[in-house]
Amino acid sequence: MALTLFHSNQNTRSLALRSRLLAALTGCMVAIFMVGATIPAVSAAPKTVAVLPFTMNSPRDLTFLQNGLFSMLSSRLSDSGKVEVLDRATVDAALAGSPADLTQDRARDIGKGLGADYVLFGSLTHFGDSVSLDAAMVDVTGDKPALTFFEQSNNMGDVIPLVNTFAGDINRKVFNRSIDNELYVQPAQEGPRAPGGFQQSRQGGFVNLQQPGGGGFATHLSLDEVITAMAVGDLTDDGTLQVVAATDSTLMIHRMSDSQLVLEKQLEYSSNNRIVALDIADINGNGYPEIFVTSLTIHLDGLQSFVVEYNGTDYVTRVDNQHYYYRVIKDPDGSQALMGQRTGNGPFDGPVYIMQAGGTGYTRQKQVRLPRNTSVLSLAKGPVTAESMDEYVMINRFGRLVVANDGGSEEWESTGKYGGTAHVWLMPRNDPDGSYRERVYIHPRIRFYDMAGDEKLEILAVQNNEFGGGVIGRYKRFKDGNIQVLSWNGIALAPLFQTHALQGWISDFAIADIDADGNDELIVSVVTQTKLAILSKDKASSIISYELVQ
Amino acid sequence: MIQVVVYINDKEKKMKKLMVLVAALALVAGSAMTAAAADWNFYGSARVSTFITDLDVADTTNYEQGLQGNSRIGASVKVSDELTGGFEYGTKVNLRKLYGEWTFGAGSLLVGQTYTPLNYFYSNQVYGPDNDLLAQGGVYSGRQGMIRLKFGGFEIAALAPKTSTLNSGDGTEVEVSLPGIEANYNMVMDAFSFNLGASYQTYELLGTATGDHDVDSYVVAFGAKTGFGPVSIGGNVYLGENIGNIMPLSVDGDNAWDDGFADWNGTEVLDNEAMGFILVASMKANDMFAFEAGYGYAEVETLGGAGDDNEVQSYYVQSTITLAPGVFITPEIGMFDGEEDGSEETLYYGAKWQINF
Repeated sequence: MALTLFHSNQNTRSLALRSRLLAALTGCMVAIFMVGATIPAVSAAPKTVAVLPFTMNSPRDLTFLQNGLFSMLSSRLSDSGKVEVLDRATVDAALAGSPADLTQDRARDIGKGLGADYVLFGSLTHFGDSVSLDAAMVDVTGDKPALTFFEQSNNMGDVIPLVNTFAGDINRKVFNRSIDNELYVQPAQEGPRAPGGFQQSRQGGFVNLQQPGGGGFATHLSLDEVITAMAVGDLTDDGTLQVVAATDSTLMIHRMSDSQLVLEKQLEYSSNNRIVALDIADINGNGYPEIFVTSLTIHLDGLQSFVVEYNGTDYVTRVDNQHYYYRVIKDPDGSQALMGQRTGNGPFDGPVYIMQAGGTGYTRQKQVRLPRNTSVLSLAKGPVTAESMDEYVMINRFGRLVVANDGGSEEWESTGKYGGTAHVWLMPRNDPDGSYRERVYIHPRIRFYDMAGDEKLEILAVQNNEFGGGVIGRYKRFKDGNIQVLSWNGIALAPLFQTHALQGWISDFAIADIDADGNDELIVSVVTQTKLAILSKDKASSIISYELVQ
Repeated sequence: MIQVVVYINDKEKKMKKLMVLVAALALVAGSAMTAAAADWNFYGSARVSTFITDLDVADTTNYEQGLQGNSRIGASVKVSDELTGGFEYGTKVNLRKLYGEWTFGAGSLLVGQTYTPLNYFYSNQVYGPDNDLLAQGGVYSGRQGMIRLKFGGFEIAALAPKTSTLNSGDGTEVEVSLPGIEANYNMVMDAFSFNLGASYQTYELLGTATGDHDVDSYVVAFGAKTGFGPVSIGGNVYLGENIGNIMPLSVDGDNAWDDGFADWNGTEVLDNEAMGFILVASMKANDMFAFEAGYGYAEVETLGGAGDDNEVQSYYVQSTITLAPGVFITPEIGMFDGEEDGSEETLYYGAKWQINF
C-alpha cells in the first residue's frame, strides 16, 4: 500500500514535470514565433508617402483648406519609424511645372522621382454648401491596386470627418493600423492658457475641463430687472470707467466701488422703448464718448434708437427716433467705427453703413458689403483666416457663425449655433391672427480680443442654449449660456476656451479694466430670470466679471 | 347592428387617418432630432372662442363656444440659407400650409401652399373667428397652392382660378385656359410701410344656349400702415370686379363669405363691381395691454341693372391682454351691419382665448 502510494506520487510528479516542460516549450515557441514575426517589421525601412496638394474646385479661394488638408493627412498618416510623410517643400519642388490634372500613372512617376512608396492625391470640390472629397492612394511600384476614396457632404464643416475616414481607410488597408478618429490629432502642443474662469478646449474637440483652482467670477451687481444690454466706457472723461446697463427703457450708469457697481445715474426714457443694444465710443470727437442706444418700438417691429452724451454737467440726448441699429466696431488698427444698419424688413435685412458724425447727428458714410442675413448687432471686424486680412465675423439670422471677406463673400459658416437672446423682432403680419407673427431673434455682440496674450486676436461669441435645443416652440427659453473664445485652426473657427455655463442667458458682454488693477476683465450681463407671467415678480439679472490674467 | 358596424368602420377610418397623421408627425419630429443638417422649429396655436351673438333679423341670441378651426400645429424648416420650407395642419386633417422655398441670388422661388401675395392683415378682429374685417373691406386671397417668385418686396404668383358663378347650373361646363395671377409690392420705410397689389383670373362658361361667355375677375388693392410711439394706424382700400372668385366678400351682415360672384341670368353673365376699405387704429399701452378699434366697409354693385346693390359695414373695439408670452385673452365687442332692409344686423361680444407655443 505504501509502495503503491509511492509509485502513485512518482507518477503525479512526473506528470507535473511533463506539463511544465510542455508549457515552457509552448511558451518558447510562441515567443520565437512572435519575435520572428516582429523582426521583419522592425527591420523594414519605413514607408514613405508623398501627399500632393489637393486640387481645389471652388469659386472661392480655399488655399487655407488646401494647406489644411495637407497638414491633416500628414499628421494622420505619419507613424514614427513606420510611415513617413514627405514635407510640403519637397513635394512642391517636385511638382513644379507639372500639369494640374493628375492621373494615377503621372502620380506614380512623381512618386518615383521623390523616392516615395505611395503617392496620395485628389481633389476637393465645393459648390454652394456641398463638398466632395475625391482622392486616391497609389502604390508607386504598381504592385497593389490604388486605394480610392470619394465622399460628399452638404456641409463644409464635414471636411474634417471625411479626412478622418479617408486616413483611417489608408491606415487600415495599406499600413494595417487602426486608430480611433479622436486620436487623429497632432501631439498636444502647449496651447494658450485659459485665462481666469475659462474652461479650456483641446485640439480635435472641445473638452469640458473644469479648471482647477480657478473658474470663479466676481458678482458686481444684481438687479430685479432684465438687463437687456450693457457697455463700458469713460463717459465723463475723468479717467475712470463706467458700466452702463440697460433695461427696456432705462439706462443705469454705474461706477465700480469696492468691487461693487454703484448706481451713479439713472436715465429714464419713454416706456415705449425696448432697448436691445448699447455701445460707447467718442465718434463725434468732442472728448465725451456717446452712448449709442439701439431701441425697438413697443410694437417690436420698428426702431427708435437714440444717442446720449455727457455734456460736462449732465447726460443729454443728442439725437433720437433714429431708424438704425447701432454697433461700434473696433478695427484691427485699434480705431473705432460706428456702424449703422437701416430698419429693413427685420434685424437681418437692412443695408449696413459706416457712419460718421455730421451736423447734429450721424450720417451714412459708406455702405459695407456683407452677406445676406447679417445683423450689425452681431458683427465684428478683424483677421480670421490670415493675420493680414480684414474680415468680418458675424452670427447670422440662423445662429451660425459666419466668416466673410471684405467683399461680402462668405468664407466659412459654422454648423453649430451661437448667439441667441430674448430680444425679438416681429415680422410683418402674414396671418389673420395678429399675435401670430414670425419672431426673429437678435443675437448679442461678438468681438475680437487677444485672450492668450500672443498678439493674435481671438473671437469671443456668446452661446445661449435653449430648452429642447430650440426645436420646439416660437418663444425662446434659455437654460444656460456661455462665452466661447474661438480661433481659426486652418479649417474652421474652433473653440479654445469657454466660460462655465451660466444659468439663464447672457445678454451682453464687454472687456475692460473696470477695477483698475492693470488687467482687463471680461464683464458679462446675465439674465437669470425672465418674467414669464404678467403678475409675477421674477426678473433677475447680474453683472459679473472674469479676470483676464495673461 | 349594421349601423353599429358602419359606425365602427367610420371611427376606425378616422382613427387610421389620425394615426397616420400622428405617425407622420412623429417621423418628421424624429427626423428633425436626428437630421442635424436641417433646423426644425415646431410650433402650435390653440384657440377657443367664447362669444354671444345677437341676430337682429333672426331675433336670436346665442352663446357659442368652440375650438377655432384656425388652431394649428406646424413647423418651419431651414435646410440651408437658400432652402427653407414649412407645413401646418389645422384642427381637422386639413392642410393649411405645405411649401418649400428656394432662395437664389436675386430672389426666391416658392412652391406649395401658403398665403398668396394679396393678403393684407391690418385688423385683428377676433370674432368670426379671426375675421379681421376680411370680408367687410379687407384684402384676403387666403392660402392656395401656387408657384411664387419673389424679388425683394415684389412677389408674383400663379395659382388656380376659382370658377364659381351664381345660378350657372350644374350642367354648365367651365374651361380654364390661364392660371390666376397675383402680384404685390411691399415697401418698408422706417415707420411707414405700404402694399400695392393686384389679382386677375379668367375662365369661360361653355355650351350655354347663348354660346360661350368669359367670366373675368380682378382686384386692385392698396394698403398702408404707420406708427407713432405706442399708436399705429393701418388700412387698405380696393376696387374690383367679380371679386368673390379672388377674395371673400360678405355684404349681408351675416359674415357668410358668399358674395361678389358673377351671376348668370340664363342668357348672359352679370358682372359686379365691388369696393371696400378698412381703417384700424391700435395702441399698445404696455406689455400686458393693447387696444384696437377697427371699421370696415364694402359695397357691391351688379352691372347691367339687374339684381340688388348691396353694402355692409363692420366695426369693433377690443383689448388684447397678454398674460404671459404666448398667452392671450382678447375681449371684443362689435357689429356687422348689412345696411339694407332684410339684411342681418349682428351684434356680438365675448372673447378669444389663445395660447401660442
